[in-house]
Amino acid sequence: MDNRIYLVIFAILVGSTAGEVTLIRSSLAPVVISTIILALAGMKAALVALFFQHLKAEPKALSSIVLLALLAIVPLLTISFLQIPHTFH
Amino acid sequence: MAVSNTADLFFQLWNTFLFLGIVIGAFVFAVMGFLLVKYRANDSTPEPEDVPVMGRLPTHRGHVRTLLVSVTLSTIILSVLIFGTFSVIDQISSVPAQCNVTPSPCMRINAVGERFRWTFYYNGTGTGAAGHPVLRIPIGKTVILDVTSVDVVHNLTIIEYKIKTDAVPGRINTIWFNATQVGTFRIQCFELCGNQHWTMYTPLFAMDPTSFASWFITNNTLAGA
Amino acid sequence: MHRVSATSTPAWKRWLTTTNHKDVGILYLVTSLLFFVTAGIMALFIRTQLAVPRGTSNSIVTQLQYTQLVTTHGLLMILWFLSPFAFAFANYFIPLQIGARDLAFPRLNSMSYWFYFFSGIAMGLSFLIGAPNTGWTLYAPLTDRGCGGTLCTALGGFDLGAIGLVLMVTSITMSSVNFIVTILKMRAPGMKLKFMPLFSWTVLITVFMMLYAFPSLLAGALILFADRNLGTQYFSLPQGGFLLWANIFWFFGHPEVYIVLFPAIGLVGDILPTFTRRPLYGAKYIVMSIAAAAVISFIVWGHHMFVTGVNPLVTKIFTVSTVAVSLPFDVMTIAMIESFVKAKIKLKTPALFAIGSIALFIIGGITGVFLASVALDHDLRGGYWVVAHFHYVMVGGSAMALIGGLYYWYPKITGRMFNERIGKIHFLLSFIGFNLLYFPMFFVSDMPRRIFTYDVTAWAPWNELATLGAFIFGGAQILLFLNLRRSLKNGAVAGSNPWNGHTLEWSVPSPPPGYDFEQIPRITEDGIVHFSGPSSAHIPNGHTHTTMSHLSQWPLLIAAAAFVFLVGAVFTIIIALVGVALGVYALYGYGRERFVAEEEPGAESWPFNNVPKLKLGVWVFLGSEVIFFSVLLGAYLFVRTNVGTTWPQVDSVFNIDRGFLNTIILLTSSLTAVLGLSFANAGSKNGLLASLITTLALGAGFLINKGLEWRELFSSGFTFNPASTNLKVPATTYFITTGAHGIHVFAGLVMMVYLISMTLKGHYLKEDSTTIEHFGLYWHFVDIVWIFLFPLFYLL
Repeated sequence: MDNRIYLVIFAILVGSTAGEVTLIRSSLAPVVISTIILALAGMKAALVALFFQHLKAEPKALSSIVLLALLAIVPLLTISFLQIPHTFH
Repeated sequence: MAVSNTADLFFQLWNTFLFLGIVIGAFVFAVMGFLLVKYRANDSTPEPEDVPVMGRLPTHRGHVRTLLVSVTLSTIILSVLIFGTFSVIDQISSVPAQCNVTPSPCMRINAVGERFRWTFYYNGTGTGAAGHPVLRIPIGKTVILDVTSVDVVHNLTIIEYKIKTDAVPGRINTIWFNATQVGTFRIQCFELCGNQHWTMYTPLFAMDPTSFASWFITNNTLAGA
Repeated sequence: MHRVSATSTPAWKRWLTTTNHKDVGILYLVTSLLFFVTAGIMALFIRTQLAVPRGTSNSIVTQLQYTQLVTTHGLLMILWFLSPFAFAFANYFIPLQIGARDLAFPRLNSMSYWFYFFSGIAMGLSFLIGAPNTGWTLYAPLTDRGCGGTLCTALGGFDLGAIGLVLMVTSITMSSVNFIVTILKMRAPGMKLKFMPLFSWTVLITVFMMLYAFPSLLAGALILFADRNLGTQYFSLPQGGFLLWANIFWFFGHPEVYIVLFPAIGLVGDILPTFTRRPLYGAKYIVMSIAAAAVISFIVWGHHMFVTGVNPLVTKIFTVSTVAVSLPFDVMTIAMIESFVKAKIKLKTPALFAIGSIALFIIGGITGVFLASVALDHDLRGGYWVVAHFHYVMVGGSAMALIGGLYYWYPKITGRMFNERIGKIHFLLSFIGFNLLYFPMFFVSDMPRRIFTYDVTAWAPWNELATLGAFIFGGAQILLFLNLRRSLKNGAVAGSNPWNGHTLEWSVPSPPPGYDFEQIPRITEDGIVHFSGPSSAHIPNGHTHTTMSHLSQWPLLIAAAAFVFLVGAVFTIIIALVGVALGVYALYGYGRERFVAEEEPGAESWPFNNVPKLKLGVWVFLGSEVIFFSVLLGAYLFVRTNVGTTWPQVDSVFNIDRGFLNTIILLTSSLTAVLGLSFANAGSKNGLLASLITTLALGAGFLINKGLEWRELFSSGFTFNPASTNLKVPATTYFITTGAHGIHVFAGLVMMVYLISMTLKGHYLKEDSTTIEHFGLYWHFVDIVWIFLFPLFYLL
């Protein structure tokens, strides 16, 4: 793969990291900040996976191994947060 | 009549499960037994046409039809069980609305588990000198138990009332019941909490309201009274 | 690596250094059966103690010993017996069934066994110096500081048990990688997935489940270990506490109980056609059901937490999912029973065990539906109905089927037939003893589990029956061992296909030669197997018929090093250093060994046709790492949500500048790593060298920065267990999560040192660059984890 693409991706990664850090000093609502920051993190992770780990060029089946793992873990990360007990009166 | 409303609710559902479980189990075993006997080989039995042989990986056998039928039937039966479960859990998992008026007609008791005993507080704080090692309650009154633990996880089970909840440190789990019969019943810990876990049981005395009232007056001072 | 003939290697050397899948299978078989006997004897102690009500004065063990027995019996049976027993068969027969000569990574396979072996040593030692006594479920805070802020169980064996667990999980992860790559990449030409026997299918599904479930246990064990030994507070404070442990454990625990079951079901699916002389009814629907059950098994774990006080809505969700999982099992059972229709059923010993296991599984399954109801669980939880249910499915459903498999494949492994009459008697006594042992337990659902003794006389008759059954069942197993032992010498010689089976393992001699197949079979579109092709008088890579498979001592040494290191890390640093030295030596030897595993041309490998085995293996491993870190991060999010507003404000504790710097460092190191791959592909040794050295320097810089950061935090009072209550949970989550990540970074540095030394010698250039690529995959993954860690800890 052409090395230039790596440099471009790198620039995006560094730029968005800087963006994350500046974002927390902004005056947006905390929920908004958190969402944007996590979305940025997700995007960075995807870029590293797709381009540095070359998943974009690999057969889809290879990505599916990791995607299956993420799918398996989603229930744990969601349902356990619903478990917080309700209080009786 | 069941000894508590919770036991009553439980047994209705339990009997449904049990009936269906036994009937289905018996049916399946009967079919299995029948087939095993009917198709048991002796040496004169010829090999079936589609006998798997070395050198040829087996062909497909069977219709999806039978399986679909059984899945549909199972889903229907299981849905009955799910609805029954939901109905019971809706009732036992929330304290009856009538308890929310002031003054409340219901009795609220703190149950605290620690290694290896239960202590019951009638003064609503879970602490102090008003703790009792056995549980006395009046019949005919909704009793609410707020259960917690001061060390590890225990489980408070009133065996005959078919009700239980984990006693989790730092949390309060609530169960409730309405006892219908005078008697002595058994509370036991159902979660391993140490080597002496087996000793963590205590009686529950369901008393008629008058006896309970006279016991209560002599043995308890409510906070601030 | 040595190539030696069968006769010239002394037996001890062969067994310690073999990498042949059949040998490894036998190692697993013998070891797992040893655990079966050990844990079985424990069960007899338990049952004797419970036979009648006793006081502390007439008990046969102390209270402590009893709870230790109960705990160890569970751990050993589930983790050290059932799965390894199944994988003994998987090791031996998967290559044979799919038409391969060995697993994808034979040395890794041997290493899996030796890690298992040493994990067993750790468990054995733990039992000697004070085994855990908390139940196999290791509930916190009982296992943590639940007792007035101190450890409830300061038993010395606890940490050894943790070591055993860590080694076991490592073994299992290595096996998962190995089997996934093997089954997906090494099937014989024409052996499409749809032609695979049921046993191979269930093993494939099982190893995927293992891959995704065990990292959760590992994360939980790591956190528990830190809580116990470093003072962190994940499971001892209510914000995390019991619910957190329960979620982490059961997220692993529920798939685990299907993991021990599915290979057994697969075995039944192989045994039935052979002894009914007809194909399995609805074989493809059985496979689909097992896959469906495997998927659903990851969303039912909450039924172990029905009465923990969670939101009733959640308990309803889990009731539905748990009830739903019975549907695929429904399909499986019905299909298997339909297989009997118009069949020619031969009730030989393997068939008796297979069919018997179906019957017992039905009882286990039906009684499990009771437990799926959150309403009924308000009576059943923690009582003997549960004990009966899971023994019906795990012993009746799984172990019995596996024993059937032992009979089924005994002729193939040994070349001898066992005594059929004694086999039948063994079955009869086992079946009767089993039911006498466990069925009475359904009648004492009011009796709590894990109690040392009881005073309720109504429970006694059922317990007496159960104990009687236990001795019949346990005693019957003596027949198994005697029969198989004796038949080794005296049994009738078995040909290659004594049962007239159709799966490929029956096409080779009994026992199979080292290289398995004379000629790798080829299968046509319609399932006809051809054993034609070039004669294997000279198999690729120059082996001959008389050649034993490769021997390698490194897997054993690496496993030993890991064991020594972990023991030292817990008990004394000197031993840990010995472990490190041994590990470095062994890993280096492993890396330098010229070990070439045969590659058959034309192997079926859809859907990974263009993915080399090693790369696939690395990705599979990374899949497990995704789970591991997700659970760690999930634990962090869980406690943080529970803590709420008292969490430290952003920028008040963690130094954002240091975190930002570290993020840039790692991102840059990913860039240099991938540039290194480009240089390697282009054949530029200096470019690769520069890239590797830069990446190493950056990685070291990351760790130095982190070290300085930790030192700053420590000196400001932010330790593993800060004095300030508000900071305890933040400190715990921070140190454990970044610590686990840091260990991964360090491992990457070690790898880079090795890579640099190899690059200096001219390796990894042009087509040889795959090692650099694989390292990159790992390194980028470590970077991705930090990409999430940074905002989650420093910015939010």
